Order: sequence, then C-alpha cells, then structure tokens
Amino acid sequence: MTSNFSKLWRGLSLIPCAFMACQTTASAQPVPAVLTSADATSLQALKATIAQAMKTNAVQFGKADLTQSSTISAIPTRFALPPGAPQNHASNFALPTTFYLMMDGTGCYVLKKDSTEKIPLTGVSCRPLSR
Amino acid sequence: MTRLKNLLILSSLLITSPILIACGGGSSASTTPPPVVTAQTPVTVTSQAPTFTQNVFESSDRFEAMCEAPRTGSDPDGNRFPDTAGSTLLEKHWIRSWSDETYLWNTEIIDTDPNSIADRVDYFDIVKSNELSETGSGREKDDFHFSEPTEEFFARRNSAASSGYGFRLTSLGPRDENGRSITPRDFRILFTEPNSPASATVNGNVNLPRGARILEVDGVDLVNGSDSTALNNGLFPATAGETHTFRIREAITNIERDITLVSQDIAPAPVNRTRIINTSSGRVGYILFNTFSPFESEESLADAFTVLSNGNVNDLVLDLRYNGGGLVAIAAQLGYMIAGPSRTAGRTSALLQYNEAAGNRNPITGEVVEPFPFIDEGVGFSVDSGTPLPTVNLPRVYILTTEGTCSASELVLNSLRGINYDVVMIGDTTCGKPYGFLPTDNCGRTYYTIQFQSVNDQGVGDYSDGFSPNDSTNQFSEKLPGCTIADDISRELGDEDEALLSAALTYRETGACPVTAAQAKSSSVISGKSYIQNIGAGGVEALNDPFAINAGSYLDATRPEALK
Repeated sequence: MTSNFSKLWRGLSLIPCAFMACQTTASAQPVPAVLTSADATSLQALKATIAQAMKTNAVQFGKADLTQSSTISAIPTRFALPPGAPQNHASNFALPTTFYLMMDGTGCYVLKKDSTEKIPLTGVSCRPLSR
Repeated sequence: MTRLKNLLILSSLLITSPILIACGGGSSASTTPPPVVTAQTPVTVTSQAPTFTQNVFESSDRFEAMCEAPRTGSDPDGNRFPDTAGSTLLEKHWIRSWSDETYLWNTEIIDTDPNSIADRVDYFDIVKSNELSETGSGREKDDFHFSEPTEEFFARRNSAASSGYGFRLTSLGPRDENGRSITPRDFRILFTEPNSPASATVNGNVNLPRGARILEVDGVDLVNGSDSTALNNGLFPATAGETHTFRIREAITNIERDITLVSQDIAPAPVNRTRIINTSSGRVGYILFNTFSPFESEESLADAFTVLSNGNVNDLVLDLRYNGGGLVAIAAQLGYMIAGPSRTAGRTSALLQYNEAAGNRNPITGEVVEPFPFIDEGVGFSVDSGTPLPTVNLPRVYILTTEGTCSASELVLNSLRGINYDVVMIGDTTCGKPYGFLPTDNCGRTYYTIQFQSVNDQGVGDYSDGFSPNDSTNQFSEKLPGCTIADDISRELGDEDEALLSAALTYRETGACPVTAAQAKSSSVISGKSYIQNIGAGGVEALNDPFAINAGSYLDATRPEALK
C-alpha cells in the first residue's frame, strides 16, 4: 500500500518537469544528452536553432540517430544535395559542422564543437545520454 | 549545349524515374511540397536604374533580389523569398556584378552593357570566359556555364528515391545528330544495384546480367518499335509495384529469355560491391564505388574498407568507372583509407582557388580559404563525427576509369598524385572537371558559374582535359602510369575476367599492360569495342563508334528523348 508520504513525494517530483516543458531529469552539471523523441516537431525545432547558429536558412542533419547519439552533424541545406543534382558533378565541398546536444539544470542546449557558447533550445525534449 | 547542361539532364534522369519529361525537368517523386512561387505583375522601376560604365562594378548587393517578377511566399525550406520590385535590367546588373566578384576567370569576361541584351538568361550566357582550355586541346575553358529556373532546382533537390528496377542502361546503337538513340536501338545493361529486382536471381539466372540486350518491353519491340510511350512506361515505371515484362538476350551466350520485374523505390548504393580476390601473389581488394553524393556514401565506404582491412589485402583495385563525383569530404576520406596515416598526415587533399581578386578568401562567404586535408575520421554524414576510419594503408592503388569518372573521383586521383602516391590508372580518359561552384538564386533563376578550381598538395589542378593512362593517344590530358583499356560490358563488374579489372591484375603481376583487352586474361574476354564488332553492329565502323561505352552513351540511354 502506498503511503501518503510517497504520494506527496511523487507529486512533488513532477513539478520541475512541468516547469521545464517536459525536459526530463536535468542535472545541474552539464551532461551529454539525446532527444527523447526524434519526431518531426523536435527535429524541426533543433534544426531551426542550429540553422540560426550557422547563420543559414536551413540545415540538414547527418544520419545519426539523435535519440542515441548526442553528436549532431549539420550541413546547410543548399549544400546537401542528393544524387541527381547537377552540383554533384561539380566538386561539392560541403563539410558538416559538429554540435553536441547537452543538458544541465536549466534544460537542453547545444554546443558547437570547439566552442563554449550554450545555444538554448526550446520545444525540444532531452534526456541524459546513457553510457 | 554545355557539358553542365548535359550533366544536369543526364544526372537527373539517372536517379529520378519520370523519363518523359523535358530536359532539366524535376521529378514528380518529390516528398516535400513544391515551392510556393507566385509572380506578381511586373513593376517598372526607373528611379534605381543604374548606369553602365565599362569595367566599373558596383557591389552585387545593390542589385540582389530586385526582380522584374518578384516572388511571394516561401521556398520548400520555409524561407520567405527576399524578392522586391525591380526590373530585368537590375537583374542583369546583379549578374554582371556577381560574376565579377565570384567568377573564377572574371578578368576574361568581356564586360557587356546589360542594356544591350534583353533577356536575363541570354545575358548570363555571355558573362563568361570565351577562352579555350590552356591545355591546347581546343576545348572551351568554360563549358559548364548554366542556369535553370529555381523551381526546377528545388524539385530536383527534394526528389526522393525513385521507382525502378535497379539497372543502369547503356546505348550501343546509332544516334541522331542530337545524340538521341534511333532505330535499331541497342540498349544494354551497364550494371545493376545490389538487392534489386534487376540483380535478383530467378531459377539460377540473374534477371539482368551486365551486357544483356533488352529486346522487348511488355511485348513491344524496343529495337525497332515506335510505341515510345509503352516502352518508356515499362523501362521507367512511374511508381513502385508496377509489373512489366522484358525479353532479353544475354551478352556472351546470346540466350534469349523473358523476365518479369516489379518496380521498387530504389536509391543507388554508393558502394555497389566489395570483394577480395585471392591470387598467387596475395589478396587483392576490389571496391566498385559509384557515387560520392548521398550521405550514406561515407558509411558505405568505411564498411567496405573495414572488410578489406580485416581481410589483410595486399593491393587494392578501386573501380570509379561510373562515379560522377559528389562530396569532396568523402574523397578526402577515401584518400586516407587508401594511403593510410603516414602518407597523408599534414598533407592537403584539395585546396580551393578562387579568382585573383579574392586572394585567400572565398568571395562568396568572405571566409579565409582553408586547405582540405586528408580526413582520417568520420565527419558526420553517416559516420559519427570523430569516429576513426579504417585504412588498408597500401603503397599503391589501381583505379579503373572511363569518361564517366568525374569531379570528386578525379579529385581522388589528383590528391593522391599530390602526395606522390603510386596511382595506376586502368581504363579511359576521365571527364576533366577540376572546377566547382555554388548554385545561386536571384529572382527565381538559379545560376551556375564556375567559381573555384581545386588543386592538390603540390598546387596542381590543371586536368581540365582529364586524366589518362600513359599509353593514351590523348595528347592533352594529364598522364598517370597505367593502361588504356576499353570498358567491357560482357562481364560483371568485379569479375576477374572483366577487361579493366583483368588488366589491373595483369599489370599488378607483370608491371606491364596487356597488348589488347582480349589478351588481358583469356581469349574469351570481349572488350567493349570488340564486343560491338562481335555482335555485328557495324563491323569495323563500330570500332570507331563515338558512342561506344562512354559516359555519354550510358547516360543518354535513359534520356526521355532516347526513345523518340
């Protein structure tokens, strides 16, 4: 039988989640994170943030599963052309930019490789990367 | 028609299925909404009309997105069009200034008054170098100048895997003056995709073996028939799940048989096949690598090299004969995976050189140009960034080539040459494409103007007439050790009896070229050109057939016009 204390504790434990837009189990120390879900809405929000950081209109991600990997490889969409595009017969010098999905007590954010600047995320749900 | 336009047409048809579209047309296989493009009533702007002073240029920023017919709405990426009311004259001034800023040979443009040519596309077409190649070949220096409606650019960019059976065709038959296949048509299987309907085995027979001639499609005569609609519908199905029948004749046995194929959505495999060939003098790795373009090519190559590295191969044959290029970063990874860390560390795979006025800065972005190193780890296309890549770490590589070997494929050759690596080239002269550009939209037109040339660690990149083996009669191409051998479609790729691979293995054993392709392995080997002779497609004349087994022929076979 569940005690009243444990009911109260369980109820209190849900409060931070409500304030953090369901960004789960954020810890105070920065830790690598992954997406809770790679649904279209989350990915779109993530892409929009990274595109802004890269000073471009839109980006495409590499093939990594961001529910399992905290490393994001992003490339401006204008460079990310599939086979069949004439550009592919020119030399396409596109090189992805690496970002890391992180979280701390304030929630989910991204770090550009070799940078310490936190780029906050909204509308993206994260959890710590399991090692 | 420029080479770029040819490539545009051909490449769009290689991958996308709808074939009865006009050249440069987009694919109906798009998975994203079409761009929202609406043109407003043209607005005449007189107050901003610039004046023309020969060889004096204002910044292109002043004229950017000032359009005769400004678009409203957004592109497929959700970005609002930046267009404002302008004029055709302003658009032409943008072309003039932008070309002066970014065109590789900007000092060779004859500055022309935008007022003197009415149409913006006609004006763009002349804003280029008219010089001939510095190699003396007589070839135009810039044969890649091109523009297209931005709607078509987006349609192609957003096209998904297309419906088909997983084969690529070549045409050995006659052509008209426009390069279209005419009767009697001779369409052959060039290669098939792994795990596709075309490569499936039924009753012990591969459905469509390399070199097989397609005689009928759904009972319609492909060789001499005139029902191009039925033929195109069968050869290039619009959707997955379509069932069509084919009568084929196998290459060597001449056995005719009927097959039934059901179309699927198929994306080309970057690494089509990998194998290890055991010889008396060691193990030889073979990789058929067909495209650097999709993100999957990074993982695909890494997987192939892991197999060969674990297999302790002593030599490597890299088959790039149908590889038209793509992502240079993957070319830089490929160089590392071939040559290993000690030969590539600290060396430049490629360096972009822009026009002289730009100096060491990219005139498009303003950023300082950094050399592109050989890359020893994943960059994130499909291998996680930072993941160490495998390497076979060999002192030499045998590379198989044709005219279809282009762009990033040539960059592999050039980058390895730049570190004095031992490259042996087997096949035919490559396409000659050391240049690149960033397609740029202005007012609904996307422009392609050559903006940079790539050079290797020694600063060398003058291969606009391609690379050839030393014994080639092509006097203008860059030469590498190796043997000129015609493509051989009678044998499967990766078959030790196939002429190019056979020649590579012979060269590896003897250090010399086979005198003819037929001597490369055995008397049963039929090279591409002798093959034409053997099948009676014109006897001696066929040996001089300009369309025999080259990039143009195998691509053109899939053109919509091919069956008209």
